[in-house]
Amino acid sequence: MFPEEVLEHVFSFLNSHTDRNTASLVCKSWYEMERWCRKRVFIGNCYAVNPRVVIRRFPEVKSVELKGKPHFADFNLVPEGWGGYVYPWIVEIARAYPWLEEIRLKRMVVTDECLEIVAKSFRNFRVLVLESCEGFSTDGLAAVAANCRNLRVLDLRECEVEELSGHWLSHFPDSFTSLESLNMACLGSEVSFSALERLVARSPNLKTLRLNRTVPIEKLSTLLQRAPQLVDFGTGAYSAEIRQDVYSRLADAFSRSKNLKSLSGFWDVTPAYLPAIYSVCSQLTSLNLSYAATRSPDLTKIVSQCYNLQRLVVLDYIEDTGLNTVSMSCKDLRELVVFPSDPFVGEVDVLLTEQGLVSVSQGCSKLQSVLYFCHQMSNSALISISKNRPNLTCFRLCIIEPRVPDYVTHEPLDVGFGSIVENCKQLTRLSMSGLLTDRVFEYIGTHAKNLDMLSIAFAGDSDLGLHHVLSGCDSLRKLEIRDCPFGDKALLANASKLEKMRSLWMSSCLVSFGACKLLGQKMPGLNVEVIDERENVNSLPEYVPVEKVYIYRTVSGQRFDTPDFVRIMGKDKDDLYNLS
Amino acid sequence: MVLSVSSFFAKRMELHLSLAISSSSSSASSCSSRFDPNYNINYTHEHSNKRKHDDYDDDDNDQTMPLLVWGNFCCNKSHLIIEEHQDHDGDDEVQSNYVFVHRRNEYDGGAIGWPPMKSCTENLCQLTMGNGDGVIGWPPVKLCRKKHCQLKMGTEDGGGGGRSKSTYYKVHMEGIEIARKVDLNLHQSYQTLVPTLANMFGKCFEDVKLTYQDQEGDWLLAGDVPWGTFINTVQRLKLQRK
Repeated sequence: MFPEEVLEHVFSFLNSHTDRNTASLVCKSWYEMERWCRKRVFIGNCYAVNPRVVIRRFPEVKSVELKGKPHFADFNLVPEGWGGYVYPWIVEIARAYPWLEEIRLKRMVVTDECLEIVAKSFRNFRVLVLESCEGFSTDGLAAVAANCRNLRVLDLRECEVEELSGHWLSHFPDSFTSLESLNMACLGSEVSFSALERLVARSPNLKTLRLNRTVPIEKLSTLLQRAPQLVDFGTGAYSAEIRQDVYSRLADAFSRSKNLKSLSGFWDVTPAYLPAIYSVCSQLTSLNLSYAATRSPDLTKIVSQCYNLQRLVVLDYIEDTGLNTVSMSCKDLRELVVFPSDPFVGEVDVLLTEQGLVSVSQGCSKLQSVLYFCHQMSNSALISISKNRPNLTCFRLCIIEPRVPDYVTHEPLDVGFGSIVENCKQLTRLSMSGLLTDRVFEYIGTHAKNLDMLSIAFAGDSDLGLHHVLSGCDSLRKLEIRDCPFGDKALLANASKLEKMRSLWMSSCLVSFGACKLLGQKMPGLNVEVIDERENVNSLPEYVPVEKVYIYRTVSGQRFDTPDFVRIMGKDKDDLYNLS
Repeated sequence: MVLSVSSFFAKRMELHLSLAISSSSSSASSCSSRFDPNYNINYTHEHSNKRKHDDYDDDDNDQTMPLLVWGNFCCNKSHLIIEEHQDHDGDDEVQSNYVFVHRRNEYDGGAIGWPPMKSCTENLCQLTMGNGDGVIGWPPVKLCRKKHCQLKMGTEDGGGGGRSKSTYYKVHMEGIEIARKVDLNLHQSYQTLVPTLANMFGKCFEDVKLTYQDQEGDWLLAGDVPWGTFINTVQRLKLQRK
């Protein structure tokens, strides 16, 4: 038996949560040792466990990461008021971890009061990352700015913030010099530019600065000059009347930014200003032009110079020709994201097809992660992609029109996606679209043994599809389904599988109230939440399908912060069986 | 995790789950008489097999105690009670997906079941699709992105001026597949716009009403807001039959 100091030293090398979890299961003494030295806690579902249980087990935590709402909340499928409130967690960790340094939250409801507690409770607070969060205003940000003397990171990613004023930024005191990362891209209100400039000037460690739209292009050069050490820069609105002096200053400032590796922003682009970034293109490892509504030639010119690019996020304006250039120029590309310029319309204005993705899969041998929106796809293209890139780990394809078949053969896309799961053996994340029958799920259940997360929409014919997935995908932890004819049978037949997963979301499917109730009754380790906003929901018979059901494993039992349209099924005393 | 199951529980399952798995298609009012004896046998057979082993190994009992045993009824249509008014027009894929089908018959003699549908998938489509486009939450693009990325591209200009935005907007007519485009710059009021749009689709302006989608993604009735507001927030247009 190793002395504790040795074990502790060994454990200090274990950084991944899964490794630490595994180590803690070896024996009681390892469990004890590990829990005392765990510094970072990750809770993938805030309702899976109570904060007090976490605190009791891990007394020395410095970093907490929590996720709240299910992923489909990003697409407005989770009604407002569903839950995901971080307040109970904040209260408990404020009490228990006075030396906490980092909080990372995703899809949670964060109030100003929460931010105020954070601001005042942790003397060495350093990192606040809020991703896709909502519920707070710029007042909460002001509290953080004013009180967190050692703050390093303030990162607001795609949050919905009530904009009371831009004055919050001015609350960083003059003595505050520790800032390393500031991402305010999602905010709409204008901040005082002089306050911003002074903040940047007194932050020698500032590496990431992502501005919001309100910072005009004319001011960018000033900021870049103040922070030549910047690694990650996000512009504001990248548009103005074309003026030579503004352009020159900007181009000059970029050329002096020798450390710049990542660029983003570019709202409302005036194409004539884009060449100002040419001098940094060859340095870039990450480029996000997904708000740049400009045509393919402009985009192509840029990417053709990005020899070291690893991550590209762009609109479909890049078109197949632009992606062809990517395939030839960006040989180090790991991740490609192509968003639709007009997500609403069925017509095709833009010349981006499956061919663009095929070329990138051919030319970029390190490509691992794809998110691609397009209007047409074929099985042969998918097969090519899978054969070109068996190293894919994340493949998310969204064909914008639901249930669209192979545009060449008019067959379902089963074989194409089947080829993806068969050839890409390390695939951990998959999102599918287009016309798909139960067959594709058979392929998935058979081959996708490393699949961790699967997103399905408008697919399948029967419960058999769902059954294949639940019974075959050994590593599956997150499954989200919408608008598929999956019902009770597959769900109930695979009930025990659900306890091995983080969560299952099914909306607009055919899962009945009765099945949800049964599942909730029989599986104490699951919360079966029926989310149904119909007025007459209480009088519907049990065989009627629910609007939405969200099932997740939990050790904390049912939650009590639900709104009236959420029912946690099968937990009432009256419903429980007497198993004698 | 092992759910310990007694034969008592198995009986309870019969009554409460009320699986409509019977090779006989005649309806009966009592649940248990419809119960597939094969199902029952398999279930207890599995269970009794497990009892022979002293250790309950958590790892390999995924199939031990499901709430339903899959193999007995998957895809074997003769074992499924097909909803009475399902239409099988050459659509062999259609199956009943309801575990509780026979209960429906108990309630109302099968007169108006739920859902009043031809095929499950078609109706799912209607449930979420509203008027035929603008499916809720589809495509899966975050709202912040939807707000910014509309098809209002700057036109190519050689020099001078910043961005001159195109004012062409797409307009759909309910029931007509091909959309048209209209230049809103040419109009200053609804009085000229609506008849123009109606004419594009060969309709009379009195027979249509104009709706539009704003920056939030919401569909609103045009004419409810002043023209100026409409012009500033409109993203797409749709004509609907009155």
